[in-house]
Amino acid sequence: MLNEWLLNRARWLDSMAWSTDLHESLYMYAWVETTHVLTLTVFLGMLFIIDLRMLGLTFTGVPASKIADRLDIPMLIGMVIMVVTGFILYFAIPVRSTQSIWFRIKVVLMIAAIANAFLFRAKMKAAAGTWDLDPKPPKNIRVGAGLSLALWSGVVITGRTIAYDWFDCHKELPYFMYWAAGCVDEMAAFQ
Amino acid sequence: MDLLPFFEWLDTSILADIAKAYGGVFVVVQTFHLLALSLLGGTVLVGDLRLLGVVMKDVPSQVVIQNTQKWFSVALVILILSGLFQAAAVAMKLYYNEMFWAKMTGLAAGIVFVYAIRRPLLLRFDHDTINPWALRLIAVSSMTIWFTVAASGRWIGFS
Amino acid sequence: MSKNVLEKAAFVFATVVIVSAVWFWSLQIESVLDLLEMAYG
Repeated sequence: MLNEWLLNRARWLDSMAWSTDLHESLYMYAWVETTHVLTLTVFLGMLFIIDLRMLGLTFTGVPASKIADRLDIPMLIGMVIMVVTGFILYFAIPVRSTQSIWFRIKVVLMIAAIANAFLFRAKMKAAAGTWDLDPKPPKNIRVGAGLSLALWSGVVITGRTIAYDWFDCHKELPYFMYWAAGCVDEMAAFQ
Repeated sequence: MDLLPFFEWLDTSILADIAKAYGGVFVVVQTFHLLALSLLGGTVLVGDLRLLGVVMKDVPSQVVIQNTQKWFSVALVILILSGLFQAAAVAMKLYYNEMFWAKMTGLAAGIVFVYAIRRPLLLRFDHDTINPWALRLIAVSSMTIWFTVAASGRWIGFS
Repeated sequence: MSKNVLEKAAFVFATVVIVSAVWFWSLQIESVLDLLEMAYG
């Protein structure tokens, strides 16, 4: 149901002329991908510095809230570029991405990372004024920062592995993998 | 100086065997390369944009440079080690790849620049006493170098 | 090294880097444009 729906959406996108144009372009796809990867330095770079401060590993002499606040905007600029280029990359190869186990894990990890970010921010705001000047923030903040680093690292690794065809639908895989990747046709053939 | 023997050695080393035989290991190392790239890029951008007066204007630029330099070095070490492993998988191909040498030239220039000029100047002297144009040029050239190293590295994959 | 020397080194180095980078990237852009010209006319 959900898999069929997603696959139909993807096939519909795939039938558009500029999805094909983009995929078959000489340079455009590579440029979008390069922009996506290099913007990691802006988005994840700022996030790393904020998280390292929350772990008490850098900028310990500067209030934690100040670091988070001042690096917010560069981080969001990076995030916007990553989201836009990410959608374009999906648009260029919609069907294969939809049926990619890595892409699916990546989306789940991103949702978890964003949820963690919101919870983390709330905690950070609530605690400002109490531990703001502490070189080493309280444990719950450090756990949140560690989780943030781990989840976003997971997003990067699954993003990278999308390019590999180890678990593509056309491969011979166990039923569970077809199910997890949403290989609708292969699942039907299995039964 | 001809580096061909080094590449020939790398091509037959245990690193090359592992990198070629285990796709999964290669991807994990590549991911560490990307994560370290993010960290290096983050420390470079924060430091240089502070020198240009774009971010963290209310934190002294000395403080920003002092706090980012250690993590820059950590990222650089991870990048070089993970880069060496990736290079082992395609050592001979890289030896004849122009983009790869462009990247290595940029990297060498970047390392000299950071450890021989940028760091000694910015860590040892009060930034208020340094020629403001020196600070601006350091910031612009630092971002230029590391962008070139990163972008030409990405381009190796397409060439 | 004195501040004066380091400042001068920074000026020289930065100029070389910026000029080389402009040269390098303009070469790349040129080759891309050539290829696009060949492909699409």
